[in-house]
Amino acid sequence: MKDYDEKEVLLQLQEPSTRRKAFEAIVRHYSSQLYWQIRRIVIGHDDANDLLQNTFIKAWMNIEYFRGDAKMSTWLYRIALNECLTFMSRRSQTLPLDEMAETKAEELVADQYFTGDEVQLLLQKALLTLPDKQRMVFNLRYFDEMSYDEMSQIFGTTVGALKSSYHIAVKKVEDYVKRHSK
Amino acid sequence: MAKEDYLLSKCGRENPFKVPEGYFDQFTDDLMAKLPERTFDEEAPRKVTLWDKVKPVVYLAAMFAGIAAMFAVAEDFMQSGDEADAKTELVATGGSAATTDEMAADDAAIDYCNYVMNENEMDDYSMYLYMEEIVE
Repeated sequence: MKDYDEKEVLLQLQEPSTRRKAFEAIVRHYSSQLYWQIRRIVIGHDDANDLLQNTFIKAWMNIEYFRGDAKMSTWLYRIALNECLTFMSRRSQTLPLDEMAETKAEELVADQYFTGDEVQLLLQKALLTLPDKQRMVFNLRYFDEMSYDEMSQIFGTTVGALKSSYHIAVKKVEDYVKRHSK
Repeated sequence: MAKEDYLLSKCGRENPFKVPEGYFDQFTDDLMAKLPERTFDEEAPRKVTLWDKVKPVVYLAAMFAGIAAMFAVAEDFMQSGDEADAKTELVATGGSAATTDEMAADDAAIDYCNYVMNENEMDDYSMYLYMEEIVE
């Protein structure tokens, strides 16, 4: 959003009287990018919508703990991805990874909000075979071209470990796509 | 060739997901309506008192005073230890002096007895009788 001034919003956020207004600006600015991250992980729109709401509610309930020295986007991404991991781990308690990948792939085919072609469906199926955290790393780097430094702050992992994780993910996805391409 | 080039050329980066129409326009309003009301304590600027200003100096002074007191007590303790040692030594020395005096007195008495016996040509028995007379 063009009229979003992070410095100004963060100043308003420090004042209890303008905090809610500032938070509204934050929600308006970040909801779209966070939504797409969450959606790529959980696949379904309804789940993504619930998790996005939980992310912002959690951020609001802990807003006084946000330190101005970190970027707001980093803080929000961290909350959102933790929400996703919790959600997915709850799901994986009932289904093993390969079965879950199949279920999610079926969901994708039936999803009215998935409009990808055959190749894009193949890519999504390949991504569903990755462990959740590796899939997050892949999504942030491949689709959003996020820097490793920022990812390092979000995941609390070293740049080296992230590079290695991304490299392995790319290799796995590429192999899957090659194997399943007609 | 970058590691993801194959995937980029084959699948691209296009987002295949869609959302219901007007979803993002509506999302913020819906969320703000659901967001719980919170009361934040007005963080009034804290007044800096004189005590706040001098507190570090006072604490530092108290710390040094404590250390000085500790040294003074330790010194007293060591001095009293020295005095006690000196007294013990004195008592020990005094004791031996007394013993020496007693021995000297005994020696003098023996010498005197010998002198009396020699001068008066007294034998042991006469001396015994003489002593008995004195005691009586």
